[in-house]
Amino acid sequence: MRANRSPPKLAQRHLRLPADTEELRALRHDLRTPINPLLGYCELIVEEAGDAAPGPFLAGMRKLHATGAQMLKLTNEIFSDQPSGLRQLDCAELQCEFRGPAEAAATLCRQLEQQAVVAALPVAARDLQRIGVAVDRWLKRIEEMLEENCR
Amino acid sequence: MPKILLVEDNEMNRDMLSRRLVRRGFEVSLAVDGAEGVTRCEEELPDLVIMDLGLPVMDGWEATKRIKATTTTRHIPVIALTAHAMMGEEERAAAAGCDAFETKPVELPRLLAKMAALLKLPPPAPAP
Repeated sequence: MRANRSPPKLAQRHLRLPADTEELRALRHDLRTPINPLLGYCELIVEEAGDAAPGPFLAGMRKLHATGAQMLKLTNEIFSDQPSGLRQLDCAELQCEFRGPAEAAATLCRQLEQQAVVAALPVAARDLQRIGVAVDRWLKRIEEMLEENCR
Repeated sequence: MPKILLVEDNEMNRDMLSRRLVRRGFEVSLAVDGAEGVTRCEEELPDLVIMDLGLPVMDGWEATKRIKATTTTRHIPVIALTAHAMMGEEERAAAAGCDAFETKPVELPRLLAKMAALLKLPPPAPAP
């Protein structure tokens, strides 16, 4: 299943990140880790498919990469020491901010996987399945983080 | 063809990064935890090690310390690779003996430039 869980009730609660440095460090690590394969496989697919891939497929891959970059930006913002508008949101709104790009990425993955199959790009299709798994892991960990740290 | 030992426990990251390095002409050997990384490093004597830091069995800091404490492997450059991107991480990696530091998500051109510098290779060309 990809990025289609129903949101828990988090309205009027705010994110209170752990004061413990090690816990915070582990959380940040967990949330950044799935974005590495997401971005890396996007770049690899474009490199490997190269001129053999249809233009719309490559455009879709660039869009997926941009969505992954947005997920990374959100992740970094949450842990930034600088004041961020994100931190002012209640947890239900925050969850929507995170779910938006994750669901967009999951949808794009499915579409691009089908396009890769049609275009006879089996390696790209398999790598897109892996990107889908990474997106799922990121969203699952985000939702766990919100459940654990919204008060 | 420079030989790289990639020590990484995450299967997707291992697959993705090793394929990207092979495309650029590197021979890539793999280890899935720090202990295996130390053993492979001693057996294979790679030209460079890319070491994830958060590893099972033996973490990347300890594995790097052991590589750098062994006469036959201490000359091998180690690049630390980690999703820990907080202040102090680079210093912590350097203290363990890492020669360079990269954060995940990997920016490949930057990683390749660091590899080229440590391997004394010409600056990397764009991907084929």
